[in-house]
Amino acid sequence: MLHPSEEEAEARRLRDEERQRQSARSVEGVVDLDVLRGWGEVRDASLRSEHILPAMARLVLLHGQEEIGLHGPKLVLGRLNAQFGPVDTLMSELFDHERYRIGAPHVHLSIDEREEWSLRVLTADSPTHLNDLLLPLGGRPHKIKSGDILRLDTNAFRFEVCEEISLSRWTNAFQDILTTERRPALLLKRDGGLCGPRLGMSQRKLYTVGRSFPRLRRLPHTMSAPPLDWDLSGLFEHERKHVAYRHIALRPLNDQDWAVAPLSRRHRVFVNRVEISEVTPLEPGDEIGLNTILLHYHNPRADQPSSTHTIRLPIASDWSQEDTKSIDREDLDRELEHDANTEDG
Amino acid sequence: MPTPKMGETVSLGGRTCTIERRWECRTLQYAFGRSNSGGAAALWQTPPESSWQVFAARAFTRHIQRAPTLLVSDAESSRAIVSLKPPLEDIALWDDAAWRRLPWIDVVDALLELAHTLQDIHDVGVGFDGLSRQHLLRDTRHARFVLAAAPSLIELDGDVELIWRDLKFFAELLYERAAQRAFPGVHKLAELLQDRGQLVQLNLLIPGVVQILAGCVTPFGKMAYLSTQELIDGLRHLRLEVDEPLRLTVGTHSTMGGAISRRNNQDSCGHMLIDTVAGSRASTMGFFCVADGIGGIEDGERASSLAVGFAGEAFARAWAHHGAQELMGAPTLFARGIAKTVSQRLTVEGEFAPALNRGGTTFSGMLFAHDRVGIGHAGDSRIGLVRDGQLTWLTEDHTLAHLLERAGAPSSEDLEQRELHNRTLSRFLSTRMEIELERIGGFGSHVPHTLSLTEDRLHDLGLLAMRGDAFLLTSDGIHGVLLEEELVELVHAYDNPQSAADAIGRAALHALAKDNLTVLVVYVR
Repeated sequence: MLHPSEEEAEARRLRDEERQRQSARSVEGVVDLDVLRGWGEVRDASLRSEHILPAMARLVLLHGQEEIGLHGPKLVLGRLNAQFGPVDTLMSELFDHERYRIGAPHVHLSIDEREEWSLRVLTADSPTHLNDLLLPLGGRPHKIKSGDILRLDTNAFRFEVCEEISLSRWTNAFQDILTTERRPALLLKRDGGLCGPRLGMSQRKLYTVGRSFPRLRRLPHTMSAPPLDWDLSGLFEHERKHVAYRHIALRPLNDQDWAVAPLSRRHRVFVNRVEISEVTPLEPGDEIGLNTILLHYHNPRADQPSSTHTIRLPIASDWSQEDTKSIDREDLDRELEHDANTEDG
Repeated sequence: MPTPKMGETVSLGGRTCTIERRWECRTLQYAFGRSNSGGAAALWQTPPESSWQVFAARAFTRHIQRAPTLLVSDAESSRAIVSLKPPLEDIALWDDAAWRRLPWIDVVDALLELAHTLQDIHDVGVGFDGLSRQHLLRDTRHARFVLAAAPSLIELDGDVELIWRDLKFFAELLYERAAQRAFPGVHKLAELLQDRGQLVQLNLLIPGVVQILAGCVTPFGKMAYLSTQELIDGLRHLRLEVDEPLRLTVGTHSTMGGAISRRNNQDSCGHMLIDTVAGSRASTMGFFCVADGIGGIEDGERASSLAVGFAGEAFARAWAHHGAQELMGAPTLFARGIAKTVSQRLTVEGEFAPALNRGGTTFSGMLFAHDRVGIGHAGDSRIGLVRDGQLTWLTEDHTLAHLLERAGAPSSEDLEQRELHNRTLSRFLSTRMEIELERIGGFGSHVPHTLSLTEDRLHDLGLLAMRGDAFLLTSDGIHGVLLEEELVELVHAYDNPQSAADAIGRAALHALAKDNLTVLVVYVR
């Protein structure tokens, strides 16, 4: 029987060993996967860069060295169940057998104007304990403060607030980023906050977002598809798998606005955490979800200030601007093919 | 110090030594003894007028790492006593019979190490004035020699004749090992080398051996070695010639099985073997895999057969671009890279031809590079090693049951639920979403690290395969119904892998498996 601190050290050592055995980095350092694949991926290194918005708080795994940074004021944490929309952090630091019984999703964490964090339980399938007190599903949010121990099923975390990063300071930093971005853009989010990489949409044209894929004669759609405008192959392993090879298209609406169109039959697209199946016009500050990869839609129109995302239902079809017919996805595909052919021709 | 007698105990630098043998050579006398601490020692006296001890100091202290000897001098005595103490325990005197019995690969390795030691000493400008087997002790546990005495050290001064005097010893030893008889002397050997018939009769016409004999015979012949490096090169070529690389043979058996509910075979398996011989260097590279399809009837079959095809492509590309050496250096990393490639390639099918590609598959792949083996795996198909009458499963099942076990959850009371947990996969290759590299398994954490050699390098260097091994790749239709002992028995019963695979398939069929049956057997010979 090991002493508690010995037990902890042992648990830590086992996790490190396991990590080393599974490490993606060691494979990538030795094996040229582009060679094995037979096609090259466009891997933008900035997709794996550090956050540009600092973490306001952290969840520190008690039996390991990993930390989950909370880089935004509102986050949904837990396993992903696509039916319930995206999660802000995938808890990839946990192993399968640790993550297994975490709720999908499990908790919602948020900070208010009084700089106080609170926690809402989103699942009854798996227990949630705050300082050994079992929290029920739903009900009022529970206050959580620095030093509190949060247990999601058997995974224990210590909640730590980063005192220097207050909500107001974070909000200013967030606004600064948006102010300096003068064109419409999609900005990548991670762990609740913007992390830097973006797609600038300076031209009024169709933009497609996805991942590098091979051109194969026996898969005709791969041959006719136009090149991607934003290639997300460079995302981390646990993120990039969520992005379809051709996931969404951004289509200009009138001379200022944009709409998003889902391109993949097997991968979901969300706007403000609600799944869409057709072309959907966007409002500045909207959040697009490629499965669970979240993008902030920015459009610095003079009359509408950008805001953090708000969860709203997408506007179905009731707007009266010209050039806004609802587009069938197959029509859009044909349109994209046509664009590709004219580019090549 | 007076010349020690046989059986006498001598004290030297804190150690006591019992003399086992004595020689006299020129003006020197030296003796070999075993010290009280178990180590061996050879001692001799230096002649009063020579500067021989300077040579000894120069030669041996500089190369302590290479030459397995240690130099000690007795500072108290007015006459310097130089003692070479081999730091090995299982040391014994030279034995002609043992030498003639030594396997060829060990013969060459021992001579190579001796040649390297000799080269270091020659580099310092010193020679032995002829090596003799009386100067060598042998390590009885490993095929190694220990240079235990150097009574006639002499300055080389660039004299080729003196280098040759040391090199001809190698011809002596090789001759005796090949012909199994005493060395007839260099002049007789020179004669023999002109006579092909005699060479054949004496069993000297061995590729690599005859070249070294010619090189060592005289310093003035056309083929003569002029430096120890040439001897080393000759020995390296000989090593390639005597090296018996592992050879792989494969058998496969895959059927839909006897379960009435199974109307097709969703299992697939495949392998690629690339055998090459380049400059006498033989090498075998291979990739073997088993895939068990998931999903509706056609979906599963299509996914598993695509997976096997994609794996072959990826392996061929890896071999072509990375090359054999790199694959040998990290077989597990390459095997996992191949599994990742297969996974991604399946999702390309899934996205661009979705109606045809809705299923998924397990995937267990084994990469074989010369003698190193790596694994890349996701799902509940398995890879096992049969060695020394035991079967060790090398993979962990990616099932819910196994996941719960790792999570420390007690197994369910309900039999039906336990069965369900055994059948539910926690990881597999899907046509919808690719699997992360981190979740592609290699060797299971339960696999003993000793299979990798001495270090814990299964996760990249992989397992060291040995002659006599058998590898089994099975879908759950096989390992779900046959016990480890049964599989071992069946492997031992057949000397060719196809018969073993068929026998295993039949045994599983008769055990009323509820699933498709697939087994791929690899024999390492």
